[in-house]
Amino acid sequence: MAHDVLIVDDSMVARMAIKNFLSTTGASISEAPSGEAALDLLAKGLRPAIVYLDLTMPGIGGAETLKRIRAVSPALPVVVITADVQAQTLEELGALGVSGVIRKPADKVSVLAWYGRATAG
Amino acid sequence: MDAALTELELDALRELMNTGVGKSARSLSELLGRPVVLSVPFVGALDGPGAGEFFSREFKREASYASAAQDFSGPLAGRGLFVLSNDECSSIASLIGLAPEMTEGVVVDLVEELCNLVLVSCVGFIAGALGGKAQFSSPNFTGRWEAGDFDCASFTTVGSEDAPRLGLRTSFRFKDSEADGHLLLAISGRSGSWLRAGLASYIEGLLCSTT
Repeated sequence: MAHDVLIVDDSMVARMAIKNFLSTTGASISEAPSGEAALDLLAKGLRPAIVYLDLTMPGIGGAETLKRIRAVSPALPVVVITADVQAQTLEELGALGVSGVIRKPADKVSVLAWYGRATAG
Repeated sequence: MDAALTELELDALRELMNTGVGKSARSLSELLGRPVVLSVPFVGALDGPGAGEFFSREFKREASYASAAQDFSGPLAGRGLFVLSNDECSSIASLIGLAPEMTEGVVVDLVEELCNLVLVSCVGFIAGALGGKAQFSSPNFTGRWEAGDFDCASFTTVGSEDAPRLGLRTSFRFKDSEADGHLLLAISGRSGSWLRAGLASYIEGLLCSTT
């Protein structure tokens, strides 16, 4: 069964890399270049099995995007991909209900592991 | 050089800067015990008069800064400038146990040390990701100045026959502080072909990764 996946990153290269990592899964990939665009896709009915979310983006940014996703979808797996691995950043993401954090540059094993976990049940 | 980089290559360079600065921020945060809030990096062509505007766009009006410059060489060559709000210098100095009285020597030492920490981490990451290795000069304090007096020409003078062609900039601030900091990179024109090849290979590696 093909699952929907949402990749949110202002970098086209970063989105392409995640998309490439997931190419063997058969997942249906949606991309958003900003938090606002991601929220718009979700508001229009996209129901992804997992969201890969960049943290440092123009506009509302990843943390605010996560907060708004959590307000409407408390159980949706959201994995933040970021180079910002300061302890307090991770604590704040935890408080916002992040499902997991992958350090940039993202690696295929971690991306696929989170996909497998999100789609296993 | 910028004209020869595709949108995808510029995007990749911006993403590398983002990742490199993220690593720098972690080092800075661990050193100071304060969270660092990052902004989105920008990449742009340095075309003479526009260079000053590109680099100083995020400076706050009326703000005063202290800065240190550091050259990097190897296949990725250029100059970096670490800029820190004057307001932030004394609070940082006390955080890392420097003298409570902010003598000029303390400010110079502090800004040079932070420049070295942030720039080496960021530029080293970018060079490494593109298959190269950067060497670094010692950081040099470049003084205190008002935002409106930013001397872009002396910053970007990498060599009279080797004008920088590409600029990268990003801003940061410390949590619960209005003071700001900036990392500016002027990439030498002679790094152009290496940069293009490295970015093409980097992108190809991302898209063809099988591990």
